[in-house]
Amino acid sequence: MKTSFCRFLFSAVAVSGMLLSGNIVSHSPFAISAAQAQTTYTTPQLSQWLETTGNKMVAVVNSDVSAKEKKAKFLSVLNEDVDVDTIAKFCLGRFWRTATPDEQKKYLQLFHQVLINSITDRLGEYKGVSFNIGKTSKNADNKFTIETVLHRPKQPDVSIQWIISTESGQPKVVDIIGENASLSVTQRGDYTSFIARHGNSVSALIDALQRQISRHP
Amino acid sequence: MNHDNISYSLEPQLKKNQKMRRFSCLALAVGFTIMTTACTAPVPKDPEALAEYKRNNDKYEPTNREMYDFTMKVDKYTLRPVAKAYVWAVPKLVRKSLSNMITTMNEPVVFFSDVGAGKPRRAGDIFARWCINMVAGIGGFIDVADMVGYKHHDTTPGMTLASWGVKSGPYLFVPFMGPSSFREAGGSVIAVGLSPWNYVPRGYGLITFNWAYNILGVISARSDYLDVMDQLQRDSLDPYATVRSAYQQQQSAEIKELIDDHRATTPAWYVK
Repeated sequence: MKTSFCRFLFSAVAVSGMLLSGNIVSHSPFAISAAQAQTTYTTPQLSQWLETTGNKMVAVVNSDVSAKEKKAKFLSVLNEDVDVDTIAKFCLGRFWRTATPDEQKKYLQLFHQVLINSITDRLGEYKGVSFNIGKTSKNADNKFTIETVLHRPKQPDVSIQWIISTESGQPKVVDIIGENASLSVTQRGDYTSFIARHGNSVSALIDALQRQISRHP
Repeated sequence: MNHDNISYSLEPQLKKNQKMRRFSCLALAVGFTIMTTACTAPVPKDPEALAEYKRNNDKYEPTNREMYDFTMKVDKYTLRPVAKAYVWAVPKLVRKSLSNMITTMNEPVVFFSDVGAGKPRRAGDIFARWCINMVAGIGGFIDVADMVGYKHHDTTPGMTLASWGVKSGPYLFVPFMGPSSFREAGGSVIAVGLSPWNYVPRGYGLITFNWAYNILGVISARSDYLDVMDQLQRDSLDPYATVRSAYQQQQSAEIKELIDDHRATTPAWYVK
């Protein structure tokens, strides 16, 4: 009984791990401008990119500015270094195509807000965080996986893998894998199941996301 | 004379084992009856919806959802407050020690699962952990093995079955046990048989320990994930589906890790 229960809880922790890890990624002011954009990157370059990004984010997590200010900083960096739109589309799964252009637009906007809210909620837990970059490898689909270990004071280390795509000409985070579960795959399970149980209606999801945002302090 | 005494003292133990086997068989039979008569979700016709249905591998979704809702409702008024009280009343250091002890007591199951999966070095590491922690760690209360480089890993009998090629079968949400599959549920029954603590003879006072250990195990595990579970309930639109997805991903990653675990069969210090 105990082992199964642990397993259940471990699964749950994976979800939170992924969301937490979003904190780290989202916030790098380090972005390559369009003029500098290049199409091919070597693994050491990407590793360096993630390190710089991560360092800047850690600096913000550990800074003493107000929560509101932190949120604003994260939001701008989220847009620069994380391909939020691609993640959002993936999370909608088969319903992205059935959604009307208006629904797609609304959903994308809400997704950005939900993501930043879940990140800022957890900033406190990550005070004093540091990280190590591990192995970088190229995946079959031309994306890169970078392994990292987050060290949090008085809490167990978390291992997180970052999936980086360079398709847009500059490196962008397209997925995060924490404790063996992918953020976008888990989120897709949540959203698509919700839509399917609400008469395959994307607008039901939009309403739910809106409620979630309005409830957020 | 002595021989007679031994026979006599073993009798209750044999009876207990028989009882336990009967109970396990009964639980399994009831479980399978419920599942076979359970409501199954209609199979979608749309190719994309069908692909999603197959990916979810959740044939008994309607029943599973009921089990999930029921478990969460009961958890809200029982286990969750108990776990909160436990965190409030017991200092962190004590909770950590108890959690270490619970992990150590489960190492025999991990050991036999590793042996079954044909991973001698993994099993050896767990055996070393168990010996070190039972002695230097004072009955498992301090994780000394971790400090000297023997990290904990978890292998369940269900994972061993998976390494033999046994298919997982549909997803199951077992009340009070959480997400599972037919294979994992079968593995849990095997785990009961593999745990030496279930063979402790009566009259030694250790049965009491066994009960305390199981109850404490559940409370301790629940308390470790209080915040995470609350977050999941709050942030997820369909927590059932989120748990299912995370569980399935993690399960397949852990099985892959077990199969791909080719750690050296000779200790590093010996090669040197």
